[in-house]
Amino acid sequence: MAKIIFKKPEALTDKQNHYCPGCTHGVIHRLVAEVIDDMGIRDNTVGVCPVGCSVFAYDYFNVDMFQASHGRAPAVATGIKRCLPDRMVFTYQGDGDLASIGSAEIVHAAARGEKISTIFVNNAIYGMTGGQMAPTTLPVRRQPPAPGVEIGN
Amino acid sequence: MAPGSSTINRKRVVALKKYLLKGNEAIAEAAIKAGCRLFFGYPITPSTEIIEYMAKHLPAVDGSFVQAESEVSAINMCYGAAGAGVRVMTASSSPGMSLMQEGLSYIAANELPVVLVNIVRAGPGLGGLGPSQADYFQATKGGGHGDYRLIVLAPNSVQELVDLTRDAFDLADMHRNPVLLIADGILGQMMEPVVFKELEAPSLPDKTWATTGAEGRPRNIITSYALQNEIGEANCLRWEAKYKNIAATEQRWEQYMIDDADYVVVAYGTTARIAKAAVQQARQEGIKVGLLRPVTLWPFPVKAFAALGGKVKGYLTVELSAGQMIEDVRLAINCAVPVHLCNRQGGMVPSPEEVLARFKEVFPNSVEGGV
Repeated sequence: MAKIIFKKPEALTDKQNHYCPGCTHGVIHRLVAEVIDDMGIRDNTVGVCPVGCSVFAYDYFNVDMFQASHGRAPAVATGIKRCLPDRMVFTYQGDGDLASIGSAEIVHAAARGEKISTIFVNNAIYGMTGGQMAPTTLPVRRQPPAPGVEIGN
Repeated sequence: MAPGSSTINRKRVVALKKYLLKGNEAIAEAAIKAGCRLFFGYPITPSTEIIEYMAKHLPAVDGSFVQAESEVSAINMCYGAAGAGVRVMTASSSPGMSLMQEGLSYIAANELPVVLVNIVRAGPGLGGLGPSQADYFQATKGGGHGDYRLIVLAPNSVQELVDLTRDAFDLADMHRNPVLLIADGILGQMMEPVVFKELEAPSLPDKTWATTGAEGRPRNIITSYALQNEIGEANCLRWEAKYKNIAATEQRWEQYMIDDADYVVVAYGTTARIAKAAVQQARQEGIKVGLLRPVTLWPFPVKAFAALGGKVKGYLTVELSAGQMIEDVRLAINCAVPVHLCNRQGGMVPSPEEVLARFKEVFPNSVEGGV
């Protein structure tokens, strides 16, 4: 009799993801979903996905999901968590979202001690729009909108 | 009861005792009595008493108040709380409302019930603290991006602030749409006696769409985003049908001395009180003029104008702006007769005498023996 020792987490849907090869969002989604499964909280979780490559995360996480505007996920999560303090509320944000347009929302959610969880995925660029510089972009990288310019030198 | 119609029909049960309350505090207390349990805001004059009252009184009813880091954040907290299925409100004044427009567009797109209050400043820019109606366009024509509508309620007394705040929550839940209560520094700051009527709760749809955790049901997703244009269009058609239904069922207005009127003054909120005094003075002089006061700014009460038919010779709008509602009046009557403007701006208000003088100036034939 075969024994299942490895399977897709319950907290992931069956939908094939749209992410670019090698971006690792798929792996990170899986890790988050495994944790949700391990904690047994799939029915008790609300996820918030803002703008960026993560915008379609509601297609992949098999939990109640909420789509926020660019950078505002921690504020939306604050609103949900204050209503539903016994639920697990998480945001899934890229670096353009969290560290640039949404820097105020994440800093102040932390300052207030909001009981939310944030998965911060930093690829050091704006991925969805084609690789523009982000506040997290490291020195000595070449990318649009300043091709050929060595950043930080 | 104002004419017009509403899907919120109530039977009055008992009247409670009278309170002398400031307009802003009356809004806040009415909201708590309506079941509002979440409030997210950022201080701004002349609306700050609302957030102060909520901060003080919400904890006593197991509610939650958060002073956000900005209006941008406050409206997105409202977005989250409304999606979680709880009655939620925010309040601000003009520049703060501008910052909320992005979030408001998302709330409208995702069809979530949020109640907003704008105690208008005399903008554009930072804007003075005096009374103004210069945010009419922002309130009724969109404000944020995309094709959406807010239900806009315009009270003209502290009692009506109370009554319409309660209705705002029911209308928001009934239609799954944000509702904006619009007033100014006079209404927000002045004190008048009010009663909190004990009323039957209307029958409202269950919030089966709320994201509360998917226990015992298929998961809920709150999003309006679609890469497929066909889905995008289907969303737009659904919203359009909803707005048409609201426009057909929720027009409210008040009319005064209008049955035999040759001329009609149109004004809402603070200026309606001034215009009413001007109409009374005109009547004493034998001028056949009435007052039409829109209570809903969107949907604009076009039915009231249609009911007047072709018997009115001219309209005068009284506005604290360069003339915004006047465009809707002209549309409502299809520009059939002259529509003139009497206005003050930047925080100034006209006196009844000024309104009457302007009326006589633009409608000289209205006066006995006039030319």
